[in-house]
Amino acid sequence: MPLRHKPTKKGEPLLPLLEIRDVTKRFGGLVALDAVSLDVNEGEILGLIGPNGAGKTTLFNCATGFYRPDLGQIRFEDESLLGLSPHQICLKGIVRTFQIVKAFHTMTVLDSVATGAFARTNNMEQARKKATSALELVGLSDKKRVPIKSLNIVDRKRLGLGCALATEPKLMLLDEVAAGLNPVEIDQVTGLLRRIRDLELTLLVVEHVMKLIMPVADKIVVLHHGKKIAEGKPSDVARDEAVIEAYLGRE
Amino acid sequence: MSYLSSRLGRKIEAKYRPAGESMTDVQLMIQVVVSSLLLGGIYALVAAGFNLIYGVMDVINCAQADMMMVAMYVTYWSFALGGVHPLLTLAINIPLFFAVGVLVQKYVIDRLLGAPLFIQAVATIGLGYVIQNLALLFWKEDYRMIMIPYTESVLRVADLHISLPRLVSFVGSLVVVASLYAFLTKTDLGVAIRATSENRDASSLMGIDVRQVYALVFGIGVACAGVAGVFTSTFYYAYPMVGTAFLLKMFVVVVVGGCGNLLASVAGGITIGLAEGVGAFVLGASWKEAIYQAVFLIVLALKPEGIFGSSR
Amino acid sequence: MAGLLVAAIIPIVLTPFLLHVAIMVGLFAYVGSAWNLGCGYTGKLSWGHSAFMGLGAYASTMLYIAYRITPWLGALVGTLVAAGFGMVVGAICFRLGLKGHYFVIATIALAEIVRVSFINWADLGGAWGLLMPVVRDSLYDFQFHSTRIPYYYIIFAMLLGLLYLKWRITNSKLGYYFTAIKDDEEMAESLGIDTFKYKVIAMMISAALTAFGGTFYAQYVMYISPDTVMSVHVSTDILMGPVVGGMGTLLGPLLGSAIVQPIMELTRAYVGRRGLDYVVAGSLTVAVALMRPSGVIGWFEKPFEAIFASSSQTHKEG
Repeated sequence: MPLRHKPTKKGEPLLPLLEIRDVTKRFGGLVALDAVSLDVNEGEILGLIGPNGAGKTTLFNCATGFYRPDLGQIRFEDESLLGLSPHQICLKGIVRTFQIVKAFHTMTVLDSVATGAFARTNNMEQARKKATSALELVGLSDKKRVPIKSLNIVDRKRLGLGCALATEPKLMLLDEVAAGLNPVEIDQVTGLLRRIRDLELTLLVVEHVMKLIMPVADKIVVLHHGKKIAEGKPSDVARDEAVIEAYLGRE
Repeated sequence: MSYLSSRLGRKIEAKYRPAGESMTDVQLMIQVVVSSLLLGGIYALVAAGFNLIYGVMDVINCAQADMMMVAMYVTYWSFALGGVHPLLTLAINIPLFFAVGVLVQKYVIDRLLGAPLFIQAVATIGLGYVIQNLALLFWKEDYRMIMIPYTESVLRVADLHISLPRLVSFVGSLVVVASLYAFLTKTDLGVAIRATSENRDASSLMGIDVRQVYALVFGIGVACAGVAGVFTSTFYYAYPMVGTAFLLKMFVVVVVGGCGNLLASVAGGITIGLAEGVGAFVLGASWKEAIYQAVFLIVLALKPEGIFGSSR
Repeated sequence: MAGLLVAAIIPIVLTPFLLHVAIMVGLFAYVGSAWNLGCGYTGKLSWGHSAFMGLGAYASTMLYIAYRITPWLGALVGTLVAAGFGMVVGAICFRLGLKGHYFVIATIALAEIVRVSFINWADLGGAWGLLMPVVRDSLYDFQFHSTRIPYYYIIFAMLLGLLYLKWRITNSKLGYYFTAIKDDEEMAESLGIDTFKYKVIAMMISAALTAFGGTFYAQYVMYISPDTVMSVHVSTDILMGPVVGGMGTLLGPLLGSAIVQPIMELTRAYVGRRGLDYVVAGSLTVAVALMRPSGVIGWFEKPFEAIFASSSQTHKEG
């Protein structure tokens, strides 16, 4: 599946694909994000974790144009994303999935994914082709003509991923993709994520389920009460005292 | 440029100026303001009934104004056939329309609960069409007006001439809306109703018979239209299509005041009444209908929830 | 295909009255389908389409009366004017993010403003309207009086053209995007769809097509006025077909009009006094809304699918 990809010359310092700098977002009196900074490098899988209400989805919404940060800067490939609408951001190469899986409920599987593919082509045949390869990737090829209403939850999540992949993104933001899945299904999704990463896509994954994210992530960032409290390799973060307290302390 | 110098201005002046007296521009303007403000009371009442139904049941009753039209005819025929003074018809209309409302709710509206908004609108518009055209069928298109001393009487306050029926209607409408408000906030039944509007399932679990509440609410809403009809027929003529004109205004009043909000109906009604009257005065009667639509669009652009609304 | 053949031959055997009914069915099927294209597919339901119809009617009629320009060209101007107004309506309603009943009432408001403006526009006939000058049967002047059969074929052709256009759009990027917007606007945005742009486009296309129907109406009835062609009543008439037949489907408006219009015309003819036609139509609409809100077409889906290529939402292989 052709993906747009800027080749980097050896020896040049890599600019992060996505730079989030001191982003603050308030809702009335509530500070959802407090000067959060993080970088996502090309080709890596970054896991964003934290207790409920830590601000993970808010950060997502800021990065994808659904919210506008009150303060701070968000840059993608060295271009500012602030003020762009969600569809413009998608066309630049960032796509997201939704925590509560959304779907075009009157369409079939193939049609939904084709809708995503139309972001890169105007041609019906081409869109169908791209959709078909995206479906192969996520393992839904045999369910092309099925109406969405009859899909189970794992397949719906695959579908969400398929739609997102069809837009040929450089960066994918996944919002709690493991929610509601049993261990077997989680393994399937983990494999899927690895396959996606092998295609040289960059992933920013918000996750609650450690079993999914710890083995796969290159880097972990932990948010708590809207602030970043830890960052680093999964094994290091797992041992970080502040992180343990954040999770345990919330009981 | 004085609008009085135009032909149109003179015509309007002739309408508002009592015979044999001259008025200053300011007085004329005040006259217009007062006159149209009073009309706003009726708008408020019709809108209140609508808002009650919408607020509690989440149902859009597009037939509200047509029910008012029927009420006007009931008042007219009571007078024409039985010599009953219009205001006395209130005693007939209130229970009658309440009963009608309950019946309509049980057989028609009940099935619309939870239906998509457009379908509700279509169904109630269809209902309105049926009512309107039945009226057309039975009573033809002629304008019917009640002409008795009461409907022609005028009150003199300072230098202003205030039509008595308009004043009574205005006060009456406000009284009704105020009592409704008091009913909803102070009585047990009223509280039950409000609870149902907040959370249908929770109320049902607490023993409130939601079906009955809905029937009651719809009945009250339609009764409001019934009362409004009585008042309106004292200074306006009845004809089958009068519902449509009021319906469009009612929508605007509801949105401008704030959806689902009872007291906001008053604010909306008065605003639109004023806009209509003053606008007609300044631009000419034939622009009347465009004016309040324009006001509506402006309010929508600036404060979509309406003057007193909360986002719903 | 059999249905098409029947429809093609039938005017020859119909009485003038039934021919009129057939033409009315065709007209409302046409404007209903045009409305459906803008509204049924995107889920944004306008109740102000009479403005577009009226703008089309007035544009072509004015150009004909003033300059004897053939209404066919005048219709083109009408579609441009209507598309322009459609852009205004779309820009206002969608920019303000109006949803649900706010949107519906706003479309009514805008249509009413147009209607009242035309009432006050003395040069365009004001409240009295415009009377079409009568000439002998002529394609150029778009008038036929010795027989009305040409009108039938014209509206028939228009309807076929529109249905073909709808079918093409449904199976194209535009159609997919419209459906996506209706199903889940947020998700559509996240997949790169400029929902504002496409909603406005839908409104403009719908407006332009409706305007052409307005011109046809003007040429058929030979008289237009703001109240007969731009009022809320007309808007309601326009959407009754799709609502009864099935919104968002290809043939729904056609079916709906084929049910509603004959009923209304027949009641008008046999009862004489005004009113019963809408009592029946109103009751029918209420019944459909209560019992089968997705439209009557649901009952016919299987046989229809056998006859025509695609009559439902699921996209087949192109």
